[in-house]
Amino acid sequence: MILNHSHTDISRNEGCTLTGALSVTCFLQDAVTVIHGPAGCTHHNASLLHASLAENDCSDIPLLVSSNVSEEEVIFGGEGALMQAIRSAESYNPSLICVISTCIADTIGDDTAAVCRERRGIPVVHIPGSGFLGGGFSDGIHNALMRLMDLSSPDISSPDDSMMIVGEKNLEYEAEENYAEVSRLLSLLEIDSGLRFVRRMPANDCSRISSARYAILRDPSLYPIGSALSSRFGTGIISGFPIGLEGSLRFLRQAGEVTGIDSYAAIRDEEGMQEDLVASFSDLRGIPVSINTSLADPGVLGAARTVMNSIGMVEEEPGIPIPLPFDPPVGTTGIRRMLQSWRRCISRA
Amino acid sequence: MRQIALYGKGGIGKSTTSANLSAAWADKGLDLLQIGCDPKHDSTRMLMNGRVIPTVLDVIREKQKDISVSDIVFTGYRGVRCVEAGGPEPGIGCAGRGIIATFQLLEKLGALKGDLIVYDVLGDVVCGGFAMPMREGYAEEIYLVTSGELMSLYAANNIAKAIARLSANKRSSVRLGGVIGNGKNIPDEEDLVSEFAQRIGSRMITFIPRSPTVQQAELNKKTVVEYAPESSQAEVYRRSADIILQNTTFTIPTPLSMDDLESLAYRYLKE
Repeated sequence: MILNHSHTDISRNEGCTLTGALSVTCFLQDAVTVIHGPAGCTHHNASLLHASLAENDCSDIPLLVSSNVSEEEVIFGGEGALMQAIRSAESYNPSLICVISTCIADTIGDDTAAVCRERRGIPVVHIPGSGFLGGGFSDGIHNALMRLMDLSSPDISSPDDSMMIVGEKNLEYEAEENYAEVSRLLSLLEIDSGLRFVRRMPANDCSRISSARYAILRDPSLYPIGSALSSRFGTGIISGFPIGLEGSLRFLRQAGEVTGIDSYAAIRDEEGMQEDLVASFSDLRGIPVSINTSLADPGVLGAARTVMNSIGMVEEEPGIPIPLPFDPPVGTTGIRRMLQSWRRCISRA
Repeated sequence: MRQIALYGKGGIGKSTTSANLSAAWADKGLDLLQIGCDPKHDSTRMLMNGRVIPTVLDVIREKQKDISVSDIVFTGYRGVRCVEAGGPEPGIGCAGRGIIATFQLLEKLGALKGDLIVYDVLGDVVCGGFAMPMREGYAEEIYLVTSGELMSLYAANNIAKAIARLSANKRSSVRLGGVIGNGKNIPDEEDLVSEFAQRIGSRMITFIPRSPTVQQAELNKKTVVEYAPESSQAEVYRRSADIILQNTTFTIPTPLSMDDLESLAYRYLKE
């Protein structure tokens, strides 16, 4: 029994486990996700995904199937309804069916895993998604990645030298820009980005996860996933996306160490780019600004203050309030976007 | 309309007691409804001359809609109306929710009526569903059926806890009507059950001794009251039915701690 009586906050990381799992499975191409629970769980999440994806100019709503658990299933068990939902999902001929169990399914004790294990023509993977057992949004992501990892072939006879990207935040606004920045930095070391586990990834590519020799985690909280990749397949792990100016240089150094590539020249190039960036925002030098630190992510705050110092901006009260991004700015390009938003803000003040 | 509920450990004799009490009350001309709230669904079998009636949950599962009173309420001995809630297949689903669904359906169909409604409820499971008969609008009188066996007393004590907890709600009028001792031929059993009843702030309202007539009646698919109306056991049931009918003493119980319960049972074992 999980005893967690502490009050939770309402940040995304403390949100619904089911939503976290969906933020992974809905970004598998050619897969269908079955949500084993009441129709409302599916409807609510479909709305949320639709709204989040629309913000990113994507109008494709992921295909979700609900087992539509009602009072009858609660009383008599919902495994029959789940089997029916899986059959419905099979009719779309996907390469993979992901089944996410909800709070209701686990409360009444449905053996969702056993139903998923039944032999079928299409692989069916069970992802635990009931948040009442103590998990949150992040646990949903972890559960999904771990279960999808199980689909990987243990055969690593043809290793892939490109860099696998693990656990991208599919619902964040700048997911593609962040990916592009990581790819740019890797290209300085002449490393290609490989599998995006999971973002717009063909479901069949789950079998290739083991062949990736190196992987970058989206952020350090995905450590358990990195650890599993490392212990099961010997994957070399970089613990997170680069944050800010200093983080970008550290990232290049770390990627060089993991892959055995000399990173000296790449770091010199990036330092040059960062100097150019600072110079291009010299109009902000000496301007008194203020930032709201009360709810700021420490990573965001650190990256912001580093670049403020480099430019020579002055943090004082009362200064012109400047916004901080929700997620830490990824790479040198992330810092550029943050500075551009500051410049717009200051020019309007 | 008076609504009473009998709670007790599985296998302790709740259904036998409930059915015989209902038969005794029916003999007095009262309009009776007996509702079995146990997935085992055998509460009313003796009132129905051995017929196992379809359970409410079976009917819900099969018909889903357009369910009428005649689908779930069956008439047995002397017009006693019999209902069995039933339950899911063992090992799947939620029986407690099934009890709630049963009550909702009976209420919707206007079937909860009569001079007396008797709820025969499994007392081992203490989830919210099995507490449904004790909730507002249903049984206000609870009787605990127990033998002198420790586990039976333990289950009775647990139900006493539930009554005490529900009584804390100002809108709740559920009270303990008393303890019904159902003998298992344990030495000093009547005294033990009686002391247990006093210790939880109630009284042993009746003690039903063990009798071979009960088994004979059941093998003949009848209640004792119907099968052997002249027997002393039938007289015990009739007397018990009268006592319950005349009972006006209802209390909020004070359940025992596990240590106190064990030492009580231990003392009687030693003496």
